[in-house]
Amino acid sequence: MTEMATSSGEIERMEDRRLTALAGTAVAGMLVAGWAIFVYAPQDALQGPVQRIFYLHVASAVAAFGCFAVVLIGSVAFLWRGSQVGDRLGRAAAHVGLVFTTVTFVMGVIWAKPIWNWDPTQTWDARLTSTAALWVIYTGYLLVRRFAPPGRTAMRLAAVVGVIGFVDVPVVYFSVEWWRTLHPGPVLATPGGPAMPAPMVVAYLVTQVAVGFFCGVLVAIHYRLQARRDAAEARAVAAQLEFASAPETR
Amino acid sequence: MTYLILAYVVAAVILGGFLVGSLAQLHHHRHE
Repeated sequence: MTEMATSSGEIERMEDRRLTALAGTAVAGMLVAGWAIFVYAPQDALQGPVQRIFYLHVASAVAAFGCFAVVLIGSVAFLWRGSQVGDRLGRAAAHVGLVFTTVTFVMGVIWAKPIWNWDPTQTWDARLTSTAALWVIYTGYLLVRRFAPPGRTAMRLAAVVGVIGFVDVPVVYFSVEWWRTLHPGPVLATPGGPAMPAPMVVAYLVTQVAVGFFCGVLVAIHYRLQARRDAAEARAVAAQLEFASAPETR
Repeated sequence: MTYLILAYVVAAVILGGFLVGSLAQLHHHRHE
């Protein structure tokens, strides 16, 4: 038993070392993205330096959409096959997706201030509102997963939120076309190709790859965390059952 | 320029804080 515990502790230590090394690589990738954004990319003639917010703002939004797609896949896997891996993956991706949604949101609001002198409390914007809804939906997903009656009920309820909640992702994407409010339309995925110079597209792609890798590493870390939480909960339940079924010794 | 710096500092704090916090939790859970 002790040998088994030691070897499982050794495996966990190795997993942690691997994840920490991947996190270091992800940080290095973000530094390369920083070079592409601040050194390689040319200055925008109209907006000046503040346009450089674009690179991380858009890359974070794409990363968040990717995370919510993973939540959808995990939720479908749970509802269809009862996959606990799907449930765990959904939880991990929802946490990371919320962080990238926050980054997108905050950077967008900061960018809008000098460009449009925009006060989000005074002027309605479709993309801002639909993104806020996205944030609320996935916070709800995590709250349901945590506070619903434990076990499969919580997993099932959260999975339903994970499937229905994804409907807001295309709403966020198409909001700039459906409602003509302040947020500008797409500049990369346009019919005639990207509406920006090639070095800017390259800087964006470098940032997107770095952010995608960073996001993947975060999901892997959170998947591992959720797996350990599940194992700790299972051990606690087993210990309680053992205690309840033990004969009275007094 | 101020807005550009502000945006990237806030993003770095959020992403960096989340990464460090996640790794710290991982380490903490291993010792539980």
